[in-house]
Amino acid sequence: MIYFDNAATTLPCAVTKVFYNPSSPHALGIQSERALRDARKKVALSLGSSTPEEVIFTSGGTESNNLAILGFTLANHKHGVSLASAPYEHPSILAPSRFAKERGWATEGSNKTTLVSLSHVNHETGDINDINAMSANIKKDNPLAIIHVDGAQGFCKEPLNLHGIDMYSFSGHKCHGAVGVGGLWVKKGIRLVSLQHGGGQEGNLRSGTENVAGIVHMAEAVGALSRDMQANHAHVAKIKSAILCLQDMLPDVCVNNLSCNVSPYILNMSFLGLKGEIIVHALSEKGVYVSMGAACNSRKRAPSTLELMGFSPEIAQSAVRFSFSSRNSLAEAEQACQIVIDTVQQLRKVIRK
Amino acid sequence: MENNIDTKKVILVKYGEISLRKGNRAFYEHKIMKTIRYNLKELDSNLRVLREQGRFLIEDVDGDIDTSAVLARVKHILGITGFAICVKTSLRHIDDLCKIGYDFFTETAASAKSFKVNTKRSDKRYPINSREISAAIGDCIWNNTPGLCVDLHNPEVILNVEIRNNVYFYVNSIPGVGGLPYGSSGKGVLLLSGGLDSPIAGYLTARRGVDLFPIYFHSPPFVSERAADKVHDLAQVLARYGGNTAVNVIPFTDVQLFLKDNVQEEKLTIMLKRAMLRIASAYAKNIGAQCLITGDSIGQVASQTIQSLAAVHTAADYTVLRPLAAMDKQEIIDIARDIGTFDISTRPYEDCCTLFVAKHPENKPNTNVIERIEDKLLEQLTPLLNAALENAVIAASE
Repeated sequence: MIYFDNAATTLPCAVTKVFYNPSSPHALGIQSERALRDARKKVALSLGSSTPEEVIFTSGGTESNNLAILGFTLANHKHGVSLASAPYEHPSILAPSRFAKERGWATEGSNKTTLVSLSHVNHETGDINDINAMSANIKKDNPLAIIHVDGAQGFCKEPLNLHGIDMYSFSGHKCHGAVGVGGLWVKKGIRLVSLQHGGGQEGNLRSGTENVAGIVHMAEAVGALSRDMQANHAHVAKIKSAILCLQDMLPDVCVNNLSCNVSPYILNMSFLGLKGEIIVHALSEKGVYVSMGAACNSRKRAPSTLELMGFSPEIAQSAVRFSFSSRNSLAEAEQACQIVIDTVQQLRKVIRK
Repeated sequence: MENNIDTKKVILVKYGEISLRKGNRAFYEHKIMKTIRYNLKELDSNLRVLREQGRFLIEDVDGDIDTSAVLARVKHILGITGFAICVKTSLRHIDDLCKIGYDFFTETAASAKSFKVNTKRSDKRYPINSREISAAIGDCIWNNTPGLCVDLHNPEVILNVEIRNNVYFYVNSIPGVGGLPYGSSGKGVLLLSGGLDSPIAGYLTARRGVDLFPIYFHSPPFVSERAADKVHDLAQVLARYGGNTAVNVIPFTDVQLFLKDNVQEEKLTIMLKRAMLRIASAYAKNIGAQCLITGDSIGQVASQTIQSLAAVHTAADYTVLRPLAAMDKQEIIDIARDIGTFDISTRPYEDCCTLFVAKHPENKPNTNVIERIEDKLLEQLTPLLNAALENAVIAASE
């Protein structure tokens, strides 16, 4: 099996520890509370923050984005909030923004407080946003703007500098943590309203017994990844360039990116004339697991992320996303390359008739 | 219910057409009982299903039956014409029956203005006849209920009394779906796709007693595995009527690719459908089925015009039943909602099969022309068809 769908989820490292409710008054609870505190420190360190209290643990990237967007909107809507993001961001940014606008909590583009949500690394193409430069640019014209970055695909993979950033979402299972854990870094001074009410955990921003085992596990995974970030980056870059060779070995292949600043962890490639989904199914039969840019549906459908980015429907329909992890090997990439070549040639023979 | 410990609430099941089938009656009765038991097995209570002289008795060994839970699971079973929610007693003395009848009547029909008692004495050993029993119980109720009159012609409430191994009292019966018991009309191969029509075709033929053997033509990688899951889920729904949950999944990609390469685009769908009927016929032969069942509906798409159906038909070695042929789409949808296949059939999944669909498929094919084209290909096609059936996987879920 060759698993090149790491942007969907990564394989978690083994979980061994058992934890108790950190709010319990007994020794086990206290021990859990300490573990939680250590985990928060570790994650803050990986983010490059010296204030662990700025990290709020959540159930994952989607919840973090919801808390950032809706929590901020609700806390500030009396003064007027406008929400801005690119149309090709992840649904967990677009959907809460739409939700807030539909209810009249927020508007789009006016000179009120503006919350700008942008991804660190685009989930579909791997394009990297220079978040610091973009933040500086936005804040130059609009000093009240708040910058929220969705780091699901970038955290621990691309260097991160929180300067000029106000909120940063991340997800555990994209970094070899377990599904069901993630977090939001919120700069001191940014006011949010909790979307989940109860026992007041996580600085009263996210009530509910903390998922200590998941958080500790994520902290370890994240710590290891950020420690080896440079080496991993170089390793994954080699894997990506091995797959990029497909461009020279097959005709009518294009790589889909908006800029040349692209993460090595994601490669979006179109095999023109073939539907991405058929390639995904065919590769899956041969034990190579990738994902596609757009679902192929003969009927009417919403434009895909790639189309929203400006790619033609033909490119979008034939796009396949390879996404890598530091645990993939170069040998896997070479093997996958051959399998992709065979598969695409076979399918093209059938379809070009 | 009553303080009398010798009574309890049970369900009597009535069945229709099979009682006419002399000779095989016991076999069909057994089939229905088996289906009832299958559908009740997920309930926790200690339920028993017994034969009771021309009826089935469903009772809870530990006491009153939970009627709504049981009915919800058995009311769709084929071959059943109705259900009566009864009070059952093992007491037989007429004085006891009068008392139980009176108690049951006051409990279930207290507000009625007029009534009559209808007795059926299946157990002829019972010393007094039906009319005398009705009169005795009726008297007892009438004497003790002020303001109630007897009306033998147009009563508001009929209290039914059935004297069998036990004695049963009931007021209402709930209609069943009727039809013939599952499997009483032989076997049929159902060409099941993930769409709306074919499961309904299966249901309608199952209702007339056909034992369904679903097959599904799978074309990876052009169709998602999720489409196959959908077909399995549809088969599960059909199985509630007594069918086979196992779907025979036939790998169809090679046949499809071969025909795509060798047949004009406009004729491809017709040729593919013929290939499916050929495989289905071979399968029917293997399992001893007597018919094929498809969800074709006249004129729905190009391959379902009368001419297209005729051009497809000659590929089949067996009678092809098309129960939806003369139905409107809306009628089909109504049945799908009713039996619970609608939500499964409309489950979104990505459909990549457009590859094999022409922009302008022929809608008035000439059978002779189609057969002549196929004849030329048969030598190469037949091994592919055989291989498809050989490599089929019968996948039972659960």
